Amino acid sequence: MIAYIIRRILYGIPILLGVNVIVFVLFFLVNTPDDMARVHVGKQPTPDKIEKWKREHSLDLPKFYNDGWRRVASFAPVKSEDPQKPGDKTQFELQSAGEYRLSLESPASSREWQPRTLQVKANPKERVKLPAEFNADGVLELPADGMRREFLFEVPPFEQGAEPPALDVTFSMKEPTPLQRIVLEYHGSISFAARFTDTIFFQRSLKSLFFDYGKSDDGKEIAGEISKRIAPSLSIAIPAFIFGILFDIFFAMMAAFFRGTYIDYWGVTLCVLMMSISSMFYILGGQVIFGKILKLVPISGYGYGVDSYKFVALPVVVLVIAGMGSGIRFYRTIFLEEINKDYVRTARSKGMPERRVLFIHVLKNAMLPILTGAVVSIPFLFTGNLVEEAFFAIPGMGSFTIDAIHSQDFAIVQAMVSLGSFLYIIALIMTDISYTIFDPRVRLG
Amino acid sequence: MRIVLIIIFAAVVVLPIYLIANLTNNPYPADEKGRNIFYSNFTGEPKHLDPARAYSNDEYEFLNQICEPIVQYHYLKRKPSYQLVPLTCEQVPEAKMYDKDGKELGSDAPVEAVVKSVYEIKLKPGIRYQDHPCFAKDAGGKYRWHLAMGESFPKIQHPKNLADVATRTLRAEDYVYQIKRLANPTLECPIAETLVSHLEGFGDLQKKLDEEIGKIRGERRKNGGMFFNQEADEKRNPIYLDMRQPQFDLPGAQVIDELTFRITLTNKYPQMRFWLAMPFFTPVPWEADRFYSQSAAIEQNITLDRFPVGTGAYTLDENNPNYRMVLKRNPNYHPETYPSEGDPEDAGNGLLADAGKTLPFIEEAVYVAEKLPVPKWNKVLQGYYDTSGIESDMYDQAIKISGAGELGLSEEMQAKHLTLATAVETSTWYYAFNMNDPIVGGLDEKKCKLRQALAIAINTEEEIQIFDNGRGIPAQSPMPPGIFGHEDGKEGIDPYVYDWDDKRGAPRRKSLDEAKKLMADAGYPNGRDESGKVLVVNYDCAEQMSEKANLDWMRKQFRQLGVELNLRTTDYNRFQEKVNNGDIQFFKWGWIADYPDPENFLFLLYGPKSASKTPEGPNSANYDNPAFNDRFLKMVNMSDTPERMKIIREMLAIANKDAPWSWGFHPVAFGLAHEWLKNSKPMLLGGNSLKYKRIDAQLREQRRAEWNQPVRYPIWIALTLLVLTAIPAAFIVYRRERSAPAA
Repeated sequence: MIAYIIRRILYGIPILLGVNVIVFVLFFLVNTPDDMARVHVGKQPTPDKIEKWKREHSLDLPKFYNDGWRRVASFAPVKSEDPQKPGDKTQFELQSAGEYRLSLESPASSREWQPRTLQVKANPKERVKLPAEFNADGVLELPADGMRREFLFEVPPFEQGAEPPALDVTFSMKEPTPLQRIVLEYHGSISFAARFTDTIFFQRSLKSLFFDYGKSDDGKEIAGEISKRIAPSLSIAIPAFIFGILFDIFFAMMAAFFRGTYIDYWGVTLCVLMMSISSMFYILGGQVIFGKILKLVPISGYGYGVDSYKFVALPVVVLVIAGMGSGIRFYRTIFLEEINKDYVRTARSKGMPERRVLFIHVLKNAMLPILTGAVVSIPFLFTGNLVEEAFFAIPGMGSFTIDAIHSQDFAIVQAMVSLGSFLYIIALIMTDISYTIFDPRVRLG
Repeated sequence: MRIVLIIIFAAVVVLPIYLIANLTNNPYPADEKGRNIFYSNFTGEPKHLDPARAYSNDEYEFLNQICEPIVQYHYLKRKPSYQLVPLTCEQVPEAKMYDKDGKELGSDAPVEAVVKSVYEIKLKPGIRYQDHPCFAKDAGGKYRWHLAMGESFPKIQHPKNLADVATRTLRAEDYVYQIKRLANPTLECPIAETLVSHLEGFGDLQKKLDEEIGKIRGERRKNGGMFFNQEADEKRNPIYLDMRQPQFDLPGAQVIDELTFRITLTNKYPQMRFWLAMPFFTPVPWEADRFYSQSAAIEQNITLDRFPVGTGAYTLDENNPNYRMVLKRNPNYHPETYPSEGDPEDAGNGLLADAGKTLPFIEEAVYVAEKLPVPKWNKVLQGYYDTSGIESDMYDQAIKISGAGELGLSEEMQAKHLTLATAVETSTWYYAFNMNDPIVGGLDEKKCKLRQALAIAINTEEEIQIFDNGRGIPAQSPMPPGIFGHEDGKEGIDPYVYDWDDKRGAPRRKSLDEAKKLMADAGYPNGRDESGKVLVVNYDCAEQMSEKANLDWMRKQFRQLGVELNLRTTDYNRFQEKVNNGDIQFFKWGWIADYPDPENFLFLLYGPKSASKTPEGPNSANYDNPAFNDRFLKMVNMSDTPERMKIIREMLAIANKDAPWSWGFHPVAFGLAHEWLKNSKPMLLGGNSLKYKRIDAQLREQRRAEWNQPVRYPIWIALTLLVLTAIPAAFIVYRRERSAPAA
């Protein structure tokens, strides 16, 4: 059995890794690092602010694979206040010897580029090898084709302590142009490992596998947040879970006990009715009846300590009632299936009262499918109930996730999904183990 | 056995009955009853409380009560425009301006002549910080909680949990320290760019700090090995830059003596006075920065960004933005009294009753996190929140419009003695045309007429009525009332869209016939061009900003002129991207002012700040009229003189004709207050209003008791019914077991 558990845990690792990759890819398909930066840098995002924010949050790195090109500087031309000025000039310092790449970047735009010239002057000239496209003065006419262009050039080694060479870039245009950036990148030596570790995926995503969730985009420790939010979530989820199972089983057994009678018939009808109503209705209905009309519980909110019972009561009742319809019907089916088995007939023929047959023999044997359903839902207790926590203003895990999705906070989304999938894997293993306890015939191996 | 039975009986029967019998809908602990506590709520989470980072109202609601800038807005006097009064300084500083020869110039000096403006600020003596562990010293005079690397705190939730706390007096160096912090790139200060172009030496300091941090990080990365993770490393070993070091000197912010400091700008920039009233320019003692920059604190999520240290009337007693935020009165608060003069109507509204009394009045303020409007509103009606805004869903319940068109409270609200206050927000919603667009853009006569016609068709009055329940006023220019440059009356209207109705004394939107005529002049008679094709305009908007009904309404407005509106909704990210790239024709957007100055609105139309010219430029309409731009540059740094008014009028005349925007509307905030809350006047700027408010806790307790008598009998009835229904079932069981075995 121990070997089995270890094997299952090992299987879990590629699954978690896969989940990680999927979350990462999906998230970055929808939100680019620039989008994430814009949410956080405030009302007037400038390219500089965005660039800085990305650097601060390791989002300026390549996503999965670092080919060694590192952005050392970038500048957006035409930030001049004076529209009459033909162009803008900037100076890049070339700090170390090696390969450089100068590229023109433009966000995807349907608009055509206007013709312009790019002038690159090395300072001093002999210490930088410019590519052949440039003429002797370092000037290049660019066609208006909207293509991304890259120029490679080299800085030969120079003595340490010597003044590093510099690059003067002048960008001139006849017409105002859509936004563009000129980016200077440096190809540094990069170790084999760093090609994979110096990436957004490694720096931001992979560490969540080791339960290191890091900081959210607004600088809070996620692990600390989780530890604070888990108690409110559990204080509702656990009572709702326990009472839910107890009530469901009890009523399901009643239905099975009275199968075929009017109690069973109307009970099932009621269940179908309850299933068909949206959980939102129970929440709002509960708030209106118990909070507003009867004034028995606060409409929403949360309290810590002994005080919390008045806040927890209504959400728990609502969760239990909302789950009852489907729960009772599910368990009733299980019990009815068991009731038709041979051992039940044997027990009855021995003269055992129906009550004992049902509540002792059938219940015990029906435990297996009940457990499967129950144990597997345990991880969801931890991840919180998204809708209910929002309506009742409960500071739990569910509202944490929702808020993170709204504010495009990758770190939190990643953490919550990782945690959820980890708990799910653990729960599945626990289900298997619980089988061996309740059914001696089951052997893990 | 008997004992077990008793326990089970107690657990199953007595305990639930006891609990039900004690349930109330009061969301607050019983021991808060009758206390001098202010109860409010918040929806948006305050993300940053570090004064170098905070930049939204969600944050200012708290931070402004805790940290004090040198000046504040007068709480009552706001007419004709907002006024600054001293807070921690002796008097509101006036800029002294110098030309390039060092000669002092008058306040009316032309912008181009000024190369230096200097604010000398003298602080009031004896102002003390809140008690905080960062100031605590041990017997030997060593800071008790400034630990060496590797040492740690006891486990705490809040700095106040640390055993020793102390205070010290406010010094000029604390303001200077904070101004330097604004240059720290790791703090991502949102106004750093603005300061670079005004504050002397700020850009250099920014660069120096950036280099310094880069150097430290580079070294650590080099020594960190293969699995180096910057975030993890800085948690263990935070980078602390002591801004008092001589290498981080900032020429633009200099300490003169213990209570005096000097701010030097490189140009004329009168708007600086408004920045000085914002939390960016509040003091941060170096002790606090040092305290929060140690791993012992950071590891427990104890940061300046969560627990600010200030001299304000309140301290942050609990920071749990998912649950509640609690402010407590600062016992060290410096003497300040309630203002004794205000706007003309204030005396009549009872706002001067507390004149001259010592601030603050309220002991404690509890802000509860509320995500959804319905529960929030119900708690207001139950008396559990002292004030409330009015959201669209509750509008009909709260407000009634009398026959004369006057807004008033509904009977239900009046019965609860609620009072209503309204205030025009310092913000604007506008419809903009992309001026670079070949169809709707351009400055030639025809294009201007086309836009004027469309601006007439967009019936803002109707929009406000339908979609905002009248909570807005149609805009005649970007500037809302209360901002210099806004004009009421006939002079203030946009004559291309409105006529002045002398009888009503109000503007009247021009008729659709006039708009149709303009369309014909523009080359689109009945909305069709020469070839007879219908003019189609693309309307871009972000999903979150407009609901379906609003879009349909918009389409209807354009159809009145025969123009077809093509709706293109996207998420907000794509919308911003489209605006930046100019892939946009016509769109709706809004602006909330940072400070009450026309510059902060008109720069949205300043040509060189176009999105097409400056990356992420705020002029998203790409409006670029040299005549407007020239006047803008002239107006920008002027003081509020008649001269300035004249230039603004000229600018508006140009913009009215060019019509790059349909001016849209200025939202009006509605606020309700319970009768037990005194001195409540909606404050849209500054927002340090908590210290002025007063609570009659006795009256509140009485009202709450009246309104919230629990009704328990339905529960007892339901439980009894449940037990009764079990009887027939038990009877069946009994019968079955007595009868022959089941078939």
